[in-house]
Amino acid sequence: MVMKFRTIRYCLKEGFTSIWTNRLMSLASIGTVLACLIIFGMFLLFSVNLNYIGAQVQEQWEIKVFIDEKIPSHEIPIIGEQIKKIKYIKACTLETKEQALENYKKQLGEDAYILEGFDEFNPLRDSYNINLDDIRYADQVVQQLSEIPGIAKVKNHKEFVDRLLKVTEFVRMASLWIMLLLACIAVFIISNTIKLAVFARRKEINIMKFVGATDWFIRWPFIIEGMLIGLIGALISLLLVGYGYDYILKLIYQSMNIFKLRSFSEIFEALAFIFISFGISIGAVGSAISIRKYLRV
Amino acid sequence: MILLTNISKTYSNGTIALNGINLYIGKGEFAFIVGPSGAGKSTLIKLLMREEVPTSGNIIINNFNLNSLRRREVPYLRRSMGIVFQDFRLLPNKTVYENVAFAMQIIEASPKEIRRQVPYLLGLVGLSNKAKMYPHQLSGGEQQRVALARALINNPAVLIADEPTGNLDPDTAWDIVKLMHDINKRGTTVVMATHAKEIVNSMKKRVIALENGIIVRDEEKGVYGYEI
Ligand SMILES: Nc1ncnc2c1ncn2[C@@H]1O[C@H](COP(=O)(O)OP(=O)(O)O)[C@@H](O)[C@H]1O
Ligand SMILES: [Mg+2]
Repeated sequence: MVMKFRTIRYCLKEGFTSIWTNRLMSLASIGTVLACLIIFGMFLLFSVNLNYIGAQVQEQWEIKVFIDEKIPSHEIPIIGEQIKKIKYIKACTLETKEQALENYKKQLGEDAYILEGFDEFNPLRDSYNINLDDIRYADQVVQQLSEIPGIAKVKNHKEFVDRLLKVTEFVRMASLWIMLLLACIAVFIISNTIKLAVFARRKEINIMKFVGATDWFIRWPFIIEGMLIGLIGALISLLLVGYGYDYILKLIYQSMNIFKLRSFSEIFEALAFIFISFGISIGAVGSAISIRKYLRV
Repeated sequence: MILLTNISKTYSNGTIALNGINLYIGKGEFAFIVGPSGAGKSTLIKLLMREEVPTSGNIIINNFNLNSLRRREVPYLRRSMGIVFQDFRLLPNKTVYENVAFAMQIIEASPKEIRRQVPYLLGLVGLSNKAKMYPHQLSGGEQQRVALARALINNPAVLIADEPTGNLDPDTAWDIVKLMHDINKRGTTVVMATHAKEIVNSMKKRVIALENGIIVRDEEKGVYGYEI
């Protein structure tokens, strides 16, 4: 169905006029879309960042094996060779106890004075840091590592990673359901608004019908009204979520610096796309429902 | 051209509004449909404009066969006729000009055509000087003229009017009927359902009399024939 340009302009004008005529109800609809998208946006951003953190953890994740203190230092590389022979091991680097102490000091920063005096008597052990091709082989590799003589202890944060992945999955599912629920609410409110708009213009619709307007010519302004409501809600929530996110990022970075989070500019385009298409869709669905029910053409 | 064969209409509540109507109204005719209240005049008009569907029988109007008419063809049927009601049905928040232009806008006429056609029709119904007024600033007769201008704006072959003078005083009613007569003289078929005995009697046009959903009389140059 091809529409003439002047018809599109007419529909837009009628849509805006109707929003203004029913401004109270329109405001309520825009507010609902706004609330939906803000809550949805928060979950979305939370989930995106959990994913990101998960990826970083997987990337940085390593198995640490501590060498028995009784092993003489010239035998340590032999253990290294044995480790490298195990399948799925990507990299294996030695961290001597002196390096380990240095790293500790760096992590402590200003508080490094606690470690004063440890230079003479270093209680740490030499260790190998091992990276895997894939975290899934962790159990197998850990098993083989513990069989190598001279290794005192195998440290492995797999449980933490597993838990993080589980939380991520949960948040992803939860945000999907919340989105569906909120979308239903928004659709319901918008369809009510359009119902009132149809009611307010029933006289005009009747005249249009007997003068010979096509069904779609009568319907389009209402569909556009719904889509405009969705769009306005989407734009406002995009603004709020965007600024809010930027602000929260600053707060988080002030107190935590272990993981990187997605910057606002990284996610803006995807967020804008999702919000706008989501807003317009729920607007269109809401008005379509009302038109089916209340606009007998 | 309007042709009804064996038209019956029973409403869903069981009321039989029309019962076996056979009727032919030729191109360019002027026909009154008369009868007491409840006779079925409005029902007949609703069937013509496809607001209601007959229970049985067939209607052919302006080359549209209503039995095989598809839903999406209904608007085009309605564009081939101009319709006028007792209650004018103007949009209160639009001016006279806008009310008439509206009928062209919704069939997607070009702005150029609209600018040419609307003043012409407002001239025809004698309202050129009231184009910028709103319906509530006009008398009933003037409002009905606006409705007539709107009905004629897309050059329909048939003008259908359901008691167009029902809300008007006798003098004004006469003006409207004369206007419709002029329109008929220009080639438009006119079908007018009415109660107005005086007008029917002095116009000497075809009179189709309905009673309880049946045509009881159909006369060329007829009279109303009822005591009201
Ligand atoms: N929508 C409707 N539903 C049920 N009965 C109706 C409806 N419209 C009209 N009627 C009935 O049909 C009969 C004819 O009505 P109508 O065509 O309006 O007559 P008129 O216009 O001649 O006064 C009347 O008995 C009326 O009560
Ligand atoms: Mg009637």
